[in-house]
Amino acid sequence: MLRRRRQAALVASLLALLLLGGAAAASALTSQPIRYNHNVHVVAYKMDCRFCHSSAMKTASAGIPSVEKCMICHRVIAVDHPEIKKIAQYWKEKKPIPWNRVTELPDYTYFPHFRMVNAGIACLTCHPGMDKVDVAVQEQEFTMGFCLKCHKARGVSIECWSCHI
Amino acid sequence: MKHKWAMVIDMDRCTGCGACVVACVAENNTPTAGEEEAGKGRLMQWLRVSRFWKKEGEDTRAIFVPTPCMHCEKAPCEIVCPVYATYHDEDDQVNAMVYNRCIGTRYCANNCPYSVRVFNWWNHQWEKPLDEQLNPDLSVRSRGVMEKCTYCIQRIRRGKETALKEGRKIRDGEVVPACAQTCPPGAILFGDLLDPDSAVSRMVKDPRLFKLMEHLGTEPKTAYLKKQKGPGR
Amino acid sequence: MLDRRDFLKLGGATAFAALFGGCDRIPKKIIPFVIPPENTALGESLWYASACRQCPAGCGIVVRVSEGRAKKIEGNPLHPVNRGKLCARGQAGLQALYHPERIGRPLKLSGPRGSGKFAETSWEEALSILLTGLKKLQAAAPASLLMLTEPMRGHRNLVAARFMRAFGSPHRIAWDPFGQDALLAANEAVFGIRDVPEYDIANARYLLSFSGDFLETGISPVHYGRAYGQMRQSRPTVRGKFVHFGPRLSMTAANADVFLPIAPGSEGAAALGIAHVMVREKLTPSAAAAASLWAAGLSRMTPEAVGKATGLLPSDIEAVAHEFAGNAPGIAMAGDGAAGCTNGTYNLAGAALLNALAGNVGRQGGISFPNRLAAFSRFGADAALLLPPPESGFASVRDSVEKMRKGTYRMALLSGSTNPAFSLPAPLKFGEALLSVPQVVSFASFLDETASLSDLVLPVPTFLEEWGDDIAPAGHAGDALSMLQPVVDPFRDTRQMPDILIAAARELGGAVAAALPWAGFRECLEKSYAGMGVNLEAARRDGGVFPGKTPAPRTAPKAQRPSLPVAAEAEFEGDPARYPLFLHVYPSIAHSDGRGANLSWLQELPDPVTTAVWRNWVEVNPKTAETLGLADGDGVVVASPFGSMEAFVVVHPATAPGVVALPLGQGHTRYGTNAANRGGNPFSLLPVKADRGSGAPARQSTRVSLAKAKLAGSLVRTVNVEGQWKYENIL
Repeated sequence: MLRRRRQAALVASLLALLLLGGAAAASALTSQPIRYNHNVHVVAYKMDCRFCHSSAMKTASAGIPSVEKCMICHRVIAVDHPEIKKIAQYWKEKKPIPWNRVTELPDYTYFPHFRMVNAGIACLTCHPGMDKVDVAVQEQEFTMGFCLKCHKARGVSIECWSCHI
Repeated sequence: MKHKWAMVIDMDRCTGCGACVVACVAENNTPTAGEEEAGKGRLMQWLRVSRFWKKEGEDTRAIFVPTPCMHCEKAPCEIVCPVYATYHDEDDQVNAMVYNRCIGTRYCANNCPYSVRVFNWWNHQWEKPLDEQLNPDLSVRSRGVMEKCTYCIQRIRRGKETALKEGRKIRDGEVVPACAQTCPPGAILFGDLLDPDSAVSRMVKDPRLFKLMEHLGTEPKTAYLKKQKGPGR
Repeated sequence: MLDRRDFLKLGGATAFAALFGGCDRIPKKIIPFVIPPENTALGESLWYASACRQCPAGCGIVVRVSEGRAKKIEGNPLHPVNRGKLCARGQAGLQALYHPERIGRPLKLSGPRGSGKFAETSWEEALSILLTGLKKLQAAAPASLLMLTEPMRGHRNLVAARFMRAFGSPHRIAWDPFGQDALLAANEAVFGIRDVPEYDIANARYLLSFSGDFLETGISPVHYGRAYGQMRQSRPTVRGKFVHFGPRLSMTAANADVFLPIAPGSEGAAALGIAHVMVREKLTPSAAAAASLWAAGLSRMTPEAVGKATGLLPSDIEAVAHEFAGNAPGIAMAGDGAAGCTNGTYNLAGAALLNALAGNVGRQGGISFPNRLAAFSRFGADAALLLPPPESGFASVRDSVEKMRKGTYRMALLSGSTNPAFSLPAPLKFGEALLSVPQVVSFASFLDETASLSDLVLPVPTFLEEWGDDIAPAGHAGDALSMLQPVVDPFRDTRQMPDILIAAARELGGAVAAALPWAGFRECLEKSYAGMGVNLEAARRDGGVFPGKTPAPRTAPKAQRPSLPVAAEAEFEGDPARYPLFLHVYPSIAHSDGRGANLSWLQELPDPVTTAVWRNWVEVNPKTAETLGLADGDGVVVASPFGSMEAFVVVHPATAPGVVALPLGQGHTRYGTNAANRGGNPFSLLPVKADRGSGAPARQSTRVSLAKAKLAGSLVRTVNVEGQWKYENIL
């Protein structure tokens, strides 16, 4: 799984330079308290998504990293970067970072991340392009057709109550 | 992994205390209807303890029958739904209710001989901070949607997930709906009929077994064990 | 520690957050932790063990906590009282925690006393008012301080008792309308043991109940409910038989194999009638005891005589006596309906005598008196303070009302859910007397009738936010010790009563400070248990310390021959010509004496027998209803010589003719929107009478009349009484 993702990531990083439109990036930049760069972390430093979104293997929610987790590395790495300084400020004040929601799941839907991750579905299957961008964007809309295509192909449950209760 | 969930209610143990009703309300985000709505027959509880008067010679006896959804094999509610919002779940062999699809025709409730379905006539409100109690495992239903007992599907799912994580089958007694969990005299038993060693599989062979309105041919999966009579008068 | 806000609105791409309601309710912000707590996984719940305080039974609970919020209460499977089970009232404890009308800040009177008008104030000011009052009293007249609470147990009681003792006031009173005084007095008379017995219902073959509604109210409905299920179906070849005597078909009576209606207050006579047959037919193991009882007057309790007094058929008395004696081990128990008569002790002694005669004492499947004092001897000299006897305190409360009027008290500290301004008979005029006490401070979570009469209200946490310990009252818990811990951060700006008392003691100095030498209540608990070698961390994880064995039963009083209870007839107030019907009042399964009436889950829990919700009713026998020209659902005014109230008629096919039954619990004038203005309060019909043998409040002691009246609204019931819901149709 990892290898496949790395390959995808390589291709993506090339494409990213060509494709990323300025407008989309600009609105996303202003929308988050810290301009977190997914591309740098995932592609340049080859970090696993699950390092930060660590509950994806264990629970329904993938989770957003705590300030403490950011500070594990950024106590020493890139401490002079203006965005990192913002994190340090949150840490100093012991305040959480008020991220804005990007990925939205439709109503009345249950999506257990760990079921997908443990079944070997790559994160980029549902979150395509996340490795190309700096600030997170939702490129794939989570329609039922999108979910069912995969569920049917893999022969797993398509019962309503698997996802809607 | 297929299952066939079933419930057996021992009326010889049931005391009628209603602990199951409140446990169900707490587990399943059931709104409070209020006196006025209750007066119109719009109580939102998924499980009621029906009380029947039964004449026995000179005496009149009160009989308590906890009545959740029967999860019929031949469910009258399913065949009348124009949008397949209520249908038979293949994985768990239960009668499923899909809120997303429901358009509120109420045909299903009309066709249910057990009157166990309830309808959201309003967008029910939880006065703050009572909403902090809401169970995050299942949705809060909005106006115009039918709802009913799910055998605590969120608990079934959690049981499956735990078993999956540990790489094993679900153990008998691992999945317990809120009503069965709390029942003080232990009258409610829940389990998988496809597991031949489960307690319910044994209980359904009990000669005391009967089903509500069996003559209708609905083949309920919620079954009852008849109250026994002691010797003497 | 984490800031509370850090806990909230977690989400990320959590499915959970998205599940709630419509689009507008999806949180747009994702606030992760600054430092995640250890061992937490997002969206996974934690379960904390504690103990329930919704009623005095003392069940152990585990509470599901998700993202810092309590979501569900379940029984603690390790706890010997309830073994994982819980009743409706326990389940509804969550609604007390999240109640919109909970008092969130200290309240200072802002109108005339009793007006219920309060203004919020700071803790600093509130505590300084309390302290100023206490200091003034300490200097001038410490004995004029009154502390009136619900019965407390564990270190909560220890702190309160020590405070009062050191302060120099003897006026510490605990009021419980359902105290077990009559049971204690009866057991003292028959066995020489002033204690609550353990009824081993699970292993009994025959159960005789005299108005003992042990499955719905009473000492421990969950414990005995569980045992009842086992008695019926847990043994492969034995199914215990259950016979119930009483004036009303309660939920418990409905579960009996045989329900035998009897006249109110004749439970003792019925029991002695059975004893008579057992002795006459030589069905008792102890011939000597039988002979002395016979000579003492049991010979006069013939089935015919008893039949006349009770309304039973002599043949039924004979049959039950033979069955009871022939199906050992058996249990005879009596409950609130029998204890709440003016001859309550006699009624309960009759049942106790049956146990003695049949040889059921100290055996499996019978009754026993576990030696709890010995089991708790490790607490040292204070053991008695941790587990006070479950008495009602009725005599003391009446005495205190006199003293309030005489001006004995300068200041009163009130606390607890028993709400004396609501749950004492109206002619006592408790509320009026309380207003004559110059300063009244309440420790309360809700503005009930009693707290509304005070000048200062100090908000206390609910049991889900408290540190504490508990020892369940009756023999059924063995020597188990429950631990309470806050399962969530306090939801309001509250402080525990023991904490306030300890802080006040420190300020008062001297003997009071020396008596409560702790920084706070938590330290008090930790120090005492560390002193006893209890591993507190393990105890809090498990919800308590459960040694697993019940303490050894006390030696059964074999040598002592049980004496015959002195015959006493129940007295009823009211001229039979004007008030032709006996009034039977009983605690409601949902609201008990009324403390559950502010929770909507309990208001909407249909009464098991009548299936009524949200309102009061009066149960009338069909024949009686016909004579009075009343139909099901009619409004009536129920009048006694002491007061009157409105209610709706429920025609109840199995209430004894000539008896009307009223559930307690409704009829609040305050206590929040769910509780207030839902019909009349049955306590307002009751005389100030006590059981002659024990001093317990005698609620079954008046006659009433019914008069048809036009009332607004109607009684809502979940069952269509005339419709398709007939038993024949479901089979």
